[in-house]
Amino acid sequence: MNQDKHLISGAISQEFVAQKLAEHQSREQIGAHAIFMGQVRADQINGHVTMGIEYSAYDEMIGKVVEEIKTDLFSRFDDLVCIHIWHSTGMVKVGEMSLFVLVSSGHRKQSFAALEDCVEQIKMKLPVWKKEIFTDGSHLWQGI
Amino acid sequence: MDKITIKFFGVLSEVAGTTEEEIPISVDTKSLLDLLKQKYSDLSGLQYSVAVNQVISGENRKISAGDEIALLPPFTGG
Repeated sequence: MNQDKHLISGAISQEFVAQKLAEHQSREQIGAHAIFMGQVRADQINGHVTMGIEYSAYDEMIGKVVEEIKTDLFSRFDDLVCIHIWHSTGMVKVGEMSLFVLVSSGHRKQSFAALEDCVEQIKMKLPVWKKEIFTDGSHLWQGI
Repeated sequence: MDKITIKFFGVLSEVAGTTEEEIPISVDTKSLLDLLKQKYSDLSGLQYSVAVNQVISGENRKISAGDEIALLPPFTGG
């Protein structure tokens, strides 16, 4: 049932995004794509400057959580055609992309609303952890 | 003896010094956590949820042989 691979090793490339959009051209009932891209920010925390983020994930649980999020969104937004979620694992440098969410619907309104809802659910439920890597070689686990 | 697999994620993998270990079965998640807190004293000060076979369970749950128990710090994806 779950045919998507949700985890991508390293940064999500612009080519990958373009390829995924192109794959939707044949789905002619789609009238709107809403896209969210998460990019690694150059944070400064207590004098340390972020160089990148090392992501780790609970691979075996991700598919179940993504299916849960999709089922919830499809039950509340009847104009949705498809939802895709890709998240990086491993090192992603400042300026690179670590999250790609693609929500497609017949018309624009539901794609915007469902996209925001989807990203919030990802933040709350997706078993992924970020380790902030600083330019001085130290690191910080976020969220503890 | 029957075994279970424990998985540690995020900062907890540093606390435990490993991402995964196999240990003899505990009767339920509460007794397992008591055991792990004795083994890894730094666990006590940290926040995490517990998943049994990839499903998060807020309550004490019975454990069966071969179960995969994961300790999950607050999620920080994105």
